[in-house]
Amino acid sequence: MTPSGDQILAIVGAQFRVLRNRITGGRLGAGRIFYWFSMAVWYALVAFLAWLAAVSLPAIHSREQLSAVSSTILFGLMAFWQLMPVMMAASGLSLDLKRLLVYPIPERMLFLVEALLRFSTGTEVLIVLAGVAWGIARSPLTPGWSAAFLLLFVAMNLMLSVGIRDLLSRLLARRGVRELVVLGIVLLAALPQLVITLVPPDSLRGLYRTHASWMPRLPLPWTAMALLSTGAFSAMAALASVAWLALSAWFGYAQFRRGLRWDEAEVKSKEREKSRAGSPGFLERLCALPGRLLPDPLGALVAKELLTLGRSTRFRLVFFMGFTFGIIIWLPLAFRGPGSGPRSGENLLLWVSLYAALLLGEVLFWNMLGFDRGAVQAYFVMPVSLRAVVAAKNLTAILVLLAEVAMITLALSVLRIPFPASKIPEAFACALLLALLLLAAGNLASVKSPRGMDPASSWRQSSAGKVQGLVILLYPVFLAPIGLAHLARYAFERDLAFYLVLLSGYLVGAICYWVALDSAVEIAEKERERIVAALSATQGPIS
Amino acid sequence: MAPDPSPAIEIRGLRKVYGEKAAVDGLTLTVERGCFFGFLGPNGAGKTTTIRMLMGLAPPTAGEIRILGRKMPEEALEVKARIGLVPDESLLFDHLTGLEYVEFVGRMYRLGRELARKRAAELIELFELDTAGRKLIAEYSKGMRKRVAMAAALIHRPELFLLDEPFEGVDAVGARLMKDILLEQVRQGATIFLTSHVLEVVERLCDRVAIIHEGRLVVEGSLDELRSGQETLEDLFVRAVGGPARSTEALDWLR
Repeated sequence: MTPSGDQILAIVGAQFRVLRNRITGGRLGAGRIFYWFSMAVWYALVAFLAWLAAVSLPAIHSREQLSAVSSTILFGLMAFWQLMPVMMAASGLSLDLKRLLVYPIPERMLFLVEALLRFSTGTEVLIVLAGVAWGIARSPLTPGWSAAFLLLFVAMNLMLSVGIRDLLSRLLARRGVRELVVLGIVLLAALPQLVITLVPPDSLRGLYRTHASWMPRLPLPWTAMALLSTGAFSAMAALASVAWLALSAWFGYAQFRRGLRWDEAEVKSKEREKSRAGSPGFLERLCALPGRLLPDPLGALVAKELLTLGRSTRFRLVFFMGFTFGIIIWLPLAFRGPGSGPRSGENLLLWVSLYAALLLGEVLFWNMLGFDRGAVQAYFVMPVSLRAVVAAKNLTAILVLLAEVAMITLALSVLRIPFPASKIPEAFACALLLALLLLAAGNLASVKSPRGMDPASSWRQSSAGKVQGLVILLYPVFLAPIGLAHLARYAFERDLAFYLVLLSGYLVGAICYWVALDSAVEIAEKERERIVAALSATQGPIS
Repeated sequence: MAPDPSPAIEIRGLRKVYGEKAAVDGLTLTVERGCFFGFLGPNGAGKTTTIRMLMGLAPPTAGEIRILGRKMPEEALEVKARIGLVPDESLLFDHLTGLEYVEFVGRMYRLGRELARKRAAELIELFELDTAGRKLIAEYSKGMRKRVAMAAALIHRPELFLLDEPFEGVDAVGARLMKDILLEQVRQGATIFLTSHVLEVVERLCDRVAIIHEGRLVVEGSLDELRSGQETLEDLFVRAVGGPARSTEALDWLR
């Protein structure tokens, strides 16, 4: 065993012990059971897609078609691997370099571990890719072993993912630049969506027919690697695959090295200096407003929560993403989705608002104590009731969500995307109902399994796939009353039916909220020691 | 082989700027080998920033650092292998036991699994943390955390110790043990670079001290050279950085 190899083993071993100690130290509560259940559902869905690929690919009868289908699948998988973490602002596992840099570990070893950790953002891709490889290997058109070339695709994505993560982490840490980067990503993501939305389908088909003959020969990574893995060997495909791999390795390592030498404290300090200069800014004045209108301690608590959120990098990122990214990704579905017609865009405001609530979830609902963990300890010793603290956090969440819906409305108006004025109160009412249900569940989750979070970090540390697993299982339940309200309007063809069902949803939501609030406060009172310990705990070498 | 004549730490014109403020401003300092060096200053004077730059955790805006004759950050890997660190901010992993953590650090310093495990067990026993058994570091008191950090800093027998407030929260018995170990390390030729706000401890342990204020070096020398008459280190410190600018007399309600 080389010394560097032993260092890697030690890092992995320590992380394994951290996980083991956390699991054996924790209780198998309902929250944890639900979490594992939702993960099982999500990965079962992914495994189904893998199975589908494994049985469908051998049924294709021409090699050209097999290469084209594989190329399309690889393109989709690469987009998921590289873009989904950005869309969900969830980076997955990463080395805790702040703690490891003090040791004499060679940079290339750290890079290797970091690249391997990128598997955590591509687990779903690997499962589907295994199905694709199995399908290609079983196809009578290929030599079977050619599927091993898919490993090039995996290696390229791992290294590209390191580079993208490091680059974005640095860019997203800078105020001003962060917003520009998000806008850039929005525009990039918007391009194909806007083409699909704005260009008539016949023109698109014509364009495809014209260029279909040469497009598969473009030396794009997914095309080249699909050709190799399906046994359609050519010098161009081999050269392009190696070139893309080398380019990804260079990009990933260069960005990683820049990240190692980057001093985040310096950037933050400059930002703080800027924000301190002069009189209180717009943000401070805005955040202080509810504090003036509400009686203390509620007023002081809400003002503090708003200020803390407003100064947190992660919150600002997801808030900004809500009314930019949200609009872009829902735009094509609204205008081109199944059953779309001239009135399809009218629900866009509602959809984007509900998506924004999902993005804001971890900050506002699911882990409300984790974001400002130092303050939690103070709340336990201050002469203020925990009920008031939780109520203030909940009120802040609602105010923020309302502000988000207002920003989405404004953005849609500026973009001249038509929607009837009656949809505005509807969007606010539905977002509020969703918030009520999220708060009911979130208050309990926050005291049952609190986790300290770094508000300065732009990325969520869990992977995008895990977030989606939870979303798939939980959000439909919370969205059910809104869906039922729409169903009632469709059945009775009256807005009154919609609002009546929504009202009954509010009643159920209010009951759930009050019961959950009482339980959450009771748990927090009883288990304050555990909560403070959980919030002050730091992670392992990988976080 | 002749002993290396280069100083343990050599800093020339070191500067670290955050925004428009210089946290460290033109610091020039030499710490000879085998010296117990006290690096003092009021809160926010730039002590931790200096240590972070010495460890290669923060790149300097300007200036030059040489540690044990090697240039930082160019030769960071060789330097890090010969340094023991007790930082002010925690580098500990809370969900490991003390023994697991010290063994982990030993392996980071390339001791190999067996040797790291053996030394970790001995150090945990020495620092009387073995009674904590399977306790996770998350459950340790502040003093116990400092003790486990000190144990980890010793595991690879470093030539230079960078200690940021190592006695903070440590009880009298634990502090005595740590001081004895550090003095023994100095006797054997190690160099210690210590920051502490407990001036009595610095007075008792250190051969030389430096005081920085607002990022600049204001005093440097041996304690005997610096003190005049019966002056204590606290008197010297207050003289060097200035006394409190305000008093409670201005606040009627507090009197």
